[in-house]
Amino acid sequence: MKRIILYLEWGSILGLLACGLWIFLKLPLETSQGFPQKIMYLHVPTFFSTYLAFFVVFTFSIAYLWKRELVFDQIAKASAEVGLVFCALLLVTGAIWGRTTWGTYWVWDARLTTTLLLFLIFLGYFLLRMSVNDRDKEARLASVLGIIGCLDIPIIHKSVQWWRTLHQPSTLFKVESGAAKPSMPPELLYPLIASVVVMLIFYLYLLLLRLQTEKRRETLNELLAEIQN
Amino acid sequence: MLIGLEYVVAAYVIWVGTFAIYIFLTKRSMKNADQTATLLEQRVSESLKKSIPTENNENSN
Repeated sequence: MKRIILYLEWGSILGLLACGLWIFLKLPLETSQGFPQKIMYLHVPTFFSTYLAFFVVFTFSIAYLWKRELVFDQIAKASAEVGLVFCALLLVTGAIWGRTTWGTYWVWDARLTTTLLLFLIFLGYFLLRMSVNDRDKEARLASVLGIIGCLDIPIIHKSVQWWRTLHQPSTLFKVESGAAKPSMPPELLYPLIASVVVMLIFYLYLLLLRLQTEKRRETLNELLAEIQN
Repeated sequence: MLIGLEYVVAAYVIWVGTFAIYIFLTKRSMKNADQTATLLEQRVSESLKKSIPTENNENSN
């Protein structure tokens, strides 16, 4: 496991550096937005990692409620923490990008508001975990809240279609006459795809690192409980 | 001078800085948990070693 984490750590660091060099040194400036369009290569991959992190929470929360294996709850907890960091950065990078394109950091737009709601739900998820002393009860309640919280993700995704929003509709998943057709020229699209892939590897690294920490803390708690008994 | 450079720099610095701090704190927390667990295991084994001869003495008496 340690070796896998090391490979993922260096793989994602080198990948992020390579993407950075590609984006800042090789790419032409986009005509309508200019230089601030570079924030897209940070914001969009962060959004994919947030989705993946909370999808992992959703899957492993269901798995925990079904099988009652502690490791499933540990994975859900680790992914929720990493997802919360990604979600916070999604909101921050989005606000900065919004300032350059819309002229404001924040609007109570459907996409932004539902994303903020997701962040607050998972903040509550950790408050819930901290407030319960019984480990089984904590895992059970957190799993239920994790599943409910993840139901916000399809709403976030569809918000740009369901409501009239300032946030632009999907460019990567744009479908025209039944076929996927991203509304972006290839020279801007390829580095974006590369950034998404690297960011997902980075998420995997963070998840495994956090999971290792969680397992060690659990071992420590068991040891303390043994001594007290 | 590129227009909007400060926003791009701010976004990238915040992103990199946040993860640098997060990784540092996670690794430190893992290290602390490891050290505490090792220390506790040592103390438990030491106290067990001490308690065994005492029990033997009690039995012999």
